[in-house]
Formats: sequence, structure tokens, C-alpha cells
Amino acid sequence: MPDAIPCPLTVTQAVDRYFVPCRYQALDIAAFLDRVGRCADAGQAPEDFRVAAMQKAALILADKLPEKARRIQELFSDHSMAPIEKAHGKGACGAVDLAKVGGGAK
Amino acid sequence: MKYIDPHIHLVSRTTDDYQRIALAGCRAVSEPAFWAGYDRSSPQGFYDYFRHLTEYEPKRAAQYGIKHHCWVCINSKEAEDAVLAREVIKLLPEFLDQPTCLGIGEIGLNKNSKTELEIFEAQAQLAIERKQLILCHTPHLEDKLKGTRLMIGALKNLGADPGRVLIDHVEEHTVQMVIDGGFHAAMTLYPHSKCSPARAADILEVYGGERLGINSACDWGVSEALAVPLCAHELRMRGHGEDFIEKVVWGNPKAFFGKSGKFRTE
Repeated sequence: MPDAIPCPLTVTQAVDRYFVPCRYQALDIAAFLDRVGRCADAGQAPEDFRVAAMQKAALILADKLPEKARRIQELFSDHSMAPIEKAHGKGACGAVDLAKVGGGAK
Repeated sequence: MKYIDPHIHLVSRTTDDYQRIALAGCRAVSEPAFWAGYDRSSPQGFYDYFRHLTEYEPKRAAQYGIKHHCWVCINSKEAEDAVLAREVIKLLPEFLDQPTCLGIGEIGLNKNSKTELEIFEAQAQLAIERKQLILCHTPHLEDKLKGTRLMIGALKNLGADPGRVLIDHVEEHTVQMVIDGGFHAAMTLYPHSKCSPARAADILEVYGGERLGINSACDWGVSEALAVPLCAHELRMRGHGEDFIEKVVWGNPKAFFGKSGKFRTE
């Protein structure tokens, strides 16, 4: 990135500042996945595409490559190119259901 | 620290928020026309809303020493009804001539449908013909990447000057294509669904502060009126200099809005 500006913090300063809040967020994701697994119909219900996307995102967190935020954004994104015929509703759900959308997330 | 909130929906906020942002250093704002949380039943509903934006809200803001500016349009969430949308577009020229109206916005896509794109293009074309600035809304969550690509493609096809277009709600996966296209870009800071102050600071570090700004886009949903000073504080706590912070929260929005010839900070 030609215009990049280094983060002035040292690694230790950055970890000191951000580790505890991020630990909290990591535990929230873990507890969410545990919660889904404890639901009344867990094991019988088909796998939810959003849960599957979250688990794939966790693989990106664990790899050694940079640009994790951008890559997780792309994982959650619709990669199809053509406009859809009609908007049914207004909301977004955060991930792409490959069973409903051709192409979809990487 | 003085700052500009370049995207804020003050019609949805209390006067307490006006006081809070004024105390935090806000000197000027711009308020795009947006979805009210429900679909309006007629063009008259939009007419009244545009009067609110151009007549009433500047007076309300002035009570707190804040210069209020606005944008008018049919937003993407109500664009699927093409007949209604075309009627609303006919109303725009009257309001574009108002002294505090900076241009057409926030136009864009929501679910990336054919009709949304058609209405987006019609409004972008009107802006180009009338030499107006354009403020673009990009879709949320999984629809953002595709919507941003579609809008950039449409703007290029229409021959829009990217220097007169701000593409909003950019995130890690869309900021590069917006900046590389020569457009102005902005990040929206929300407590949950969009960018956090820390992520916005990261994006500023990775892509630099050229043509890139931050805003609260606070509205009737979960949002934070003080998002811009919170991000400025985040940058300061990391050790970034005041010149850089001022460029992001003051210089960049002022430079873009100044192209309208109508933007005032005093």
C-alpha cells in the first residue's frame, strides 16, 4: 500500500491494549458455537450456512497469512456479479447461502 | 478538537445528541436522505422529509453552533418500487437548489437488484447533468462487495467524475477499489454491524488518509453520535499526530464537500 502509515504502537503495546477485549470477543464466538450445538434440534437440523461461514472464518484467524480482516470479509461476501431480479425484503444476514445463490462466497 | 461528521441522520436524534456532538467539537454536519425505517406511502412523504432536511434541521443545528447540510434522493431501500422512485426523482431539482443541499445522496444499492441499479443510475445521471456531488451508500454485510462493484461499474459507464463522488460505508474488502477508482471514500463507525473505531484506524493506517474519512451515520438504530471523536481518540492513543487526525476528521470532508460551493463551517 503506497500511502500506508505504520501503526506507531510496539507489538507489546498493541497486545497490551487489544488482547483482553479480543479475548472477550473470541470467547463470545466460542460460546455462540457451543450454544448452537446445545440447541434442542442440534444434530438433526441441517447445518446453517452462517455457522459454517463462521467456522471457516476461524481457519483464517489461525493461519499465518496477513490481511485476515479483508479475507474474512470476502469469505462472508456474495461474489456473484449480476444484479438479482427483485429485492425480496431489505435485510442482510451476514453470509451467503450457497444453496440459494449460485456462486456465492469463496 | 474541531471535527465534521460527514454522515449523520439528525432527524432521528434528540437535541441531547446535538449538545453532545457540539461539546465534542462538531462544527458542521452533512445529513443524507435515507430510509425512515418504514416505506413511505407517497411522494408527498418524501417532499415533507426534504423540507425537513433543507428548512427545519439547519435551524435546529444552528442552536448548537453547528452548520447543517443535507443531500436529497430516493434511498436504495425504497427504490424497488420504481414508479414511486421515479416520482420522487422528479422532486429533487427543487431541493438541489436549496443553499444547504450539497447534492444527491445517499443513493446506492441495498440487495443489488435490477430495479435498485436502474434507480441508482437515474439519480447519478441527474447529478451529472446538474453538476451535483454524489454521495453513495453501499450495501451491508454480504451484499457490500457485489454492490460496490456494481456501483463503481455504473458510475464509470455514466462518465461520472470520481472526484465528485463519495462512496460510503467502505470496509476492508471494498476500500481499495474505491480509492483506486479515484473516488472519495468514508467509513461508518457502528457499535455492532459496521466498522469499529479500532478497525477504522487500522484501515487508515493501511490505506493512508488520502480521500478517506470517517462518520457516525447515527440514526434511529443502534449507533453512536460521538463515533468520529471516538475514532480520533483511538488514533491519538496509538500515537498518531494531530495533523493526521485533523486531516481525517476535518480536512478530508471539508475538501470534498467544498466542491459543492455550498459547504460552510462558520
